[in-house]
Amino acid sequence: MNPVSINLTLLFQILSFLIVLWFVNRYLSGPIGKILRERQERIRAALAAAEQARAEAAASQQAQIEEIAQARAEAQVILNAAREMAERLREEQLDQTRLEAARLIEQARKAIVSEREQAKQQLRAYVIDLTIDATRRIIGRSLDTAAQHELITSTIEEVLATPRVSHGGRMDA
Amino acid sequence: MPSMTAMIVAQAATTTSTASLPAIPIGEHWLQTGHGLLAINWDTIILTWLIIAIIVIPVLVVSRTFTTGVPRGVQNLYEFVVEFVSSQAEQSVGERATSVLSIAVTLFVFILLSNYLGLLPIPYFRSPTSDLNTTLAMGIFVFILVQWLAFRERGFVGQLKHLTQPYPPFILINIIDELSRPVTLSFRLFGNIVAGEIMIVILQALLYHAPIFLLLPMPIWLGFSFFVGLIQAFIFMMLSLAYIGLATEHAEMSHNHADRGAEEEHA
Repeated sequence: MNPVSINLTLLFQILSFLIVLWFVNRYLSGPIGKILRERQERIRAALAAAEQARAEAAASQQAQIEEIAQARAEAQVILNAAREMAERLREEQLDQTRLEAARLIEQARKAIVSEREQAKQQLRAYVIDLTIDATRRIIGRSLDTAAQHELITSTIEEVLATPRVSHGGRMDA
Repeated sequence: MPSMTAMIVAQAATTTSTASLPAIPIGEHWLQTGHGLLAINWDTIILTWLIIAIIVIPVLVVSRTFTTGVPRGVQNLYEFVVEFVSSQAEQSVGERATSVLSIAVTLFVFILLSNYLGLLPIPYFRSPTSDLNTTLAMGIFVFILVQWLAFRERGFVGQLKHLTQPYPPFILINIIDELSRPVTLSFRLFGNIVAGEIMIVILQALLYHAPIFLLLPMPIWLGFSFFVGLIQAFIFMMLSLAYIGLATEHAEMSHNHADRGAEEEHA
């Protein structure tokens, strides 16, 4: 027996191979290949969608970060403006208070001066009256009222104008 | 394997203890009609149709339940095989992988199952690929396919020009190269499978003489034969894809050369 004999079996085997090729193409590799391609396409589309969603999420996150940064910047501006305004108001309030205090002090000073002048006038009038009364009692008769008044006033003026030493050694006006 | 020939050899070995073993039956067929070129090896054909049935029946049963969603059960196995072959085809022929996928899958699955059939411990079973007619049939199919693709891609004149590359005297070498491809494909597969089956017959026969010392080689050889069967199916498929890839790749290169030449002339 020739171990490598070639005969009519070859044609049968070619035919058999063609049949199995047709079958595999029709029922196995064709459908499976189509399924694999569809699945691959679906996975590719899903990956693309996921990538797009990721990019959108990243963009959204970036936009949020930018918005937050912008809001922070605006808040900082507002805060600075508020601080400046508060500082200005405080300065204005302080100036106004100082002015008011100065005004009140001036007013008090004027009142004091006025009170003092008024007290001086009252004291002077009292001293004159007292002097006139004393003089009348001493000399026993009444002087001319207008003349007395003139005389005493001038005397008091002189006395007041002359510096004196008080009991404590202090010079009084 | 306890095929009929193996059993004959084993029986002869037991009956003739001191005499030499009969010749190893290479190329014998237990069912054959006709003589010479008109002979038909019906055993090979029957076993081939058994392989076809093994391929067809499960696919027919399962193919109705194929789903594009999550694969289940046997579909996983089919997808694994098709995807594996597809990836190999893409490496060899690029974008044309889809068009040759069925051919590659058929070659791989058919040869693999044919190789494994002879390893089953069933009487009368032998690999269809241990018959040269089977391997040569596939070799001739691949040869015709490659030539058809080459002529379709390059045209008649283009293919003739291709055969004269790099210089016209090389046409004879190129033609021999083309013609030797189906022969090498066929004989490589046939030789490996036949050699494996011969080794199994020899080991079986030796079991009757020294069973204690020869128990180990048989399972080792069977394991190696499984490996060889897989490798040979893979090699046949890959070489076929490589030939297809060469036929189409050269066409693309010559197209590119032609385009470049036309552009240069135009310039």
